This record gives sequence, structure tokens and C-alpha cells, in this order.
Amino acid sequence: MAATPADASSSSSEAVVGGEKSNKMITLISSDGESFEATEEAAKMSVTIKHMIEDGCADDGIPLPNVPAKILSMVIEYCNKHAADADDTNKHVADPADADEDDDNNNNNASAGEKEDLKSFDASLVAVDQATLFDIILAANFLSIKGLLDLACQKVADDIKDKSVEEVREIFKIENDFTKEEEEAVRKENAWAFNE
Amino acid sequence: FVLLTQIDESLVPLSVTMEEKSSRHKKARATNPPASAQEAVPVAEAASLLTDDLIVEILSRLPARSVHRFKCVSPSWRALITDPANRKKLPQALAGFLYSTFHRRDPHFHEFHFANISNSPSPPVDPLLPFLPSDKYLYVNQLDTCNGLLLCRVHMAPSSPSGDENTPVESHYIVCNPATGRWVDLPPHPEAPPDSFVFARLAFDPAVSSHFRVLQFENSDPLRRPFRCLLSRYATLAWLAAPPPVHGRKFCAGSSGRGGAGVEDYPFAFTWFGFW
Repeated sequence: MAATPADASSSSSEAVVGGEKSNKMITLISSDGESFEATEEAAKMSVTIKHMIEDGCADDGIPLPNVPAKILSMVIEYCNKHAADADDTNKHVADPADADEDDDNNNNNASAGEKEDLKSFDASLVAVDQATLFDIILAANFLSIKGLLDLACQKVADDIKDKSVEEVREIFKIENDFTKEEEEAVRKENAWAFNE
Repeated sequence: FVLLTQIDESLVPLSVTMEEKSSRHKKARATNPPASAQEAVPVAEAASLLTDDLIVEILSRLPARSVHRFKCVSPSWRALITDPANRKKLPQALAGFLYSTFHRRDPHFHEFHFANISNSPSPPVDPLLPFLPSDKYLYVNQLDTCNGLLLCRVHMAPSSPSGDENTPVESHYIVCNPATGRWVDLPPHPEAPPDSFVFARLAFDPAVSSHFRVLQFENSDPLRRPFRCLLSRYATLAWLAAPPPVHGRKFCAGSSGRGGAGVEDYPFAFTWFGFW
């Protein structure tokens, strides 16, 4: 992976707090051949992609054979939105004039309004059907984007929390391999978990 | 696939699964027309591609009741949920332990505590049992627990205030569920001879029956005579005398999850107590 002079210069202008930000665009290619552009900063929210960029494999675009276009565009939307938020946080930290009473980076830098905005963005991103939710989970897992994985898993958990055993099998497409006796036994053992 | 060989060590376990599946997908897509209509992976495939790790990720965000209910979904889910390796991530059914200590000032009385081992910050059980009517019950002695139920002996407040100090305090057994706050009084039991050695145990196993049993052992002369045992039957809330008297010089009784109480030196007692 010999780095070209162009690569060397772009990696030296990587995002640094208070310093110059790289404007380099990264090309991501979905499993069905569609190309998407994202800023390096947003793309690096994926630890998988971050490593590829650092290893110099991102020159000709990054093929993602596991991620279809529909899902990839949602993932990029998420990364763009959250990278911008992280950027704001960095800006506030860098400027001493903005120092607040509580120095907690993660909480106070976005104003209350921005936090609400982020929350509702997240909520609408995962307000999708089960199939798409599972696809997002698989993509976030493969791309190693913790925030998105947490978000999607929490949504699925919220959806199935009060569902019956049969409904859960339907959702996850699971065969019931229990024999009648086995299932009875497990149900009885855990009778407290079922509604009286 | 240059892409795949560059993946970080820590990602390998997850990526391997993806790798196998992706090569299948790649072949399928080669023959597809260029996608203008977005092609999502069909539901059946997406759900079945979820790895065990991902299922645990989802389950770890559920309350204990849901997680344990879903043991019934399939043998593989049950294995996942009960796997000790996942114990740290999943909410457990065992919330903690009730225990008693001697009252600092008066050793006749105990103080009761709850050791919380669940992950929730607020303990699910209040050892003071606030749901019991405190004006009716003067002192509640916690005797035995079994599978989430608690056996207590409650001492009644005297009904008339004029009772003198020598009036014996009435007491009877109650069984309660400290987590839900429900309880039931047991009917007064036949008096044991004075100066008898008396103790009670609770037997309850929800896997076998939704009814609990209370056993009271009494012996006025443990060195010479056998223990008598009375047991309660929940359905009729009456006390029945036990058939064979139980002999045993060393008495060691405890209730187990199988709903039995055992007596050392008398092995057949186990089979008798093993569910009736």
C-alpha cells in the first residue's frame, strides 16, 4: 500500500481539534453497485472504514458487499448527522471562552434544542419495518458503528418487549424446535415471566 | 477481496460470518439488473443472518421478565439466555438474598435485610415488607424463603389494649411474595405442647405446582422422641397431620427448590416430601 504524495498530504491534514479539517470525500459502494459519497469525518464513524482509510485502502472507493444501497444511504445519513454533532462538541471544547460550569464533554456542549433534534432524528431513522431494522443492525455491526448498533438494537428490544413467544418466533423467523414436553417444561420453569 | 484482508483483528470473528454470507449474495447480485429499485435483503434472510452476539445485544436491552419468557422461543435462544458467558449482559432472575441479623438491643428479635445482586439500582424487594398491615401485625419474623415466596410468623397486636404483659401474643403463619406484595394468612395451627421445639419451613416449586406447602416440625423432647410434622395444604388452607412421624437425632431441615424439606438420618422423608 504505497501512499501516493496526494494521500500523504491528505492524511496529514486529518481532523484535529482546533486544526484544519480534511475535506476529503470517501466513496462507498453498496452491494448492488451504487456509489455514495461521504466526508472522511463521517465515514470514520465506522471503525471498519476508519481502519481501511488509515491503511490506505480507500483510494478507489470502498466496496461494501454486505450493505445494500437503501441501508447504506441510511447509515451515511446517521454518520453525517452524528459526525456534525461530534464536531460541534470539539469546537466548544477547543474554545476556552465557551467553558461551562460542568466540563462534561458529552453532555453540555450541544444545547438542549440540538439534543432534542438529535433524539428525534434518531427516532425517525429507526421508525422502519422489522426487515429494515435487522438490515441496519447487520450493517452497523459489520461497519462497527457503535452508536447506530445501540440505537437499532434498542428499537428492536422496545418493539418485542411485550410480545408473546409466538410473535417473537414470527419476527425472527425462528423454527420452534422444542418438543411439546420440552416447551411445557420451560414454560413452567419460567411461569413468573408470563402474565398471570 | 482486498477489503476483507485488511480488517482489524478484533473484527475478525464477526466478519467471518459476514464473509461467508456475502459471497453468496455477491453471486446472486451479479445476475441482477443494475438496481434502480432499492433491493433490501428479504425479511427471512435478514432475520436469520443475525449472529448470536447480535441477538444477545438485543436481549440485553430487555427487562428480566421478557428475557426469561423468551427462553421458550427455541432451544437455541434458551441456550443463549442461560449461557453463563452471557450472564453479565443479561438481566438475571435472581435479584438477591433476604437475610436476618440479631437485633442489637433485644436478641429476641431479628432485623431483616435484603442483599441486592441485580443490576437495578433500586432493590426490587423491601425487607420491611411495607405491604403488610403494620397496625395488625406487631412483629413479623421471617422464617424461610423458597423460590420467591417468603414464610413469616406474624405476631398480632393485642385486640384489646387492656391485655397485661403476660398475655401470650397471638401469632400465625403467613406466606407472602415480597416482589408483588401479595400475601395470604394461614389458618391457626394446632398448638404444640408447651416448651416444644418448633420450627417451620416453606416448600414451593413453580415448575411442579403453583401451590406452596408449609411444614411445621415440632418436638417436645428432641433427644428421645420423633418429630411430628404438620403440613398445610394451600387449596383447603387446613393443617394435616403428617403420616409417619419423622425420627432423627440430628435435625437438619431446609427447603429445596424441589419443594421438599429434608431430615438427616431419615432418608425416606425426601421421597415423601417430593411432591404431593
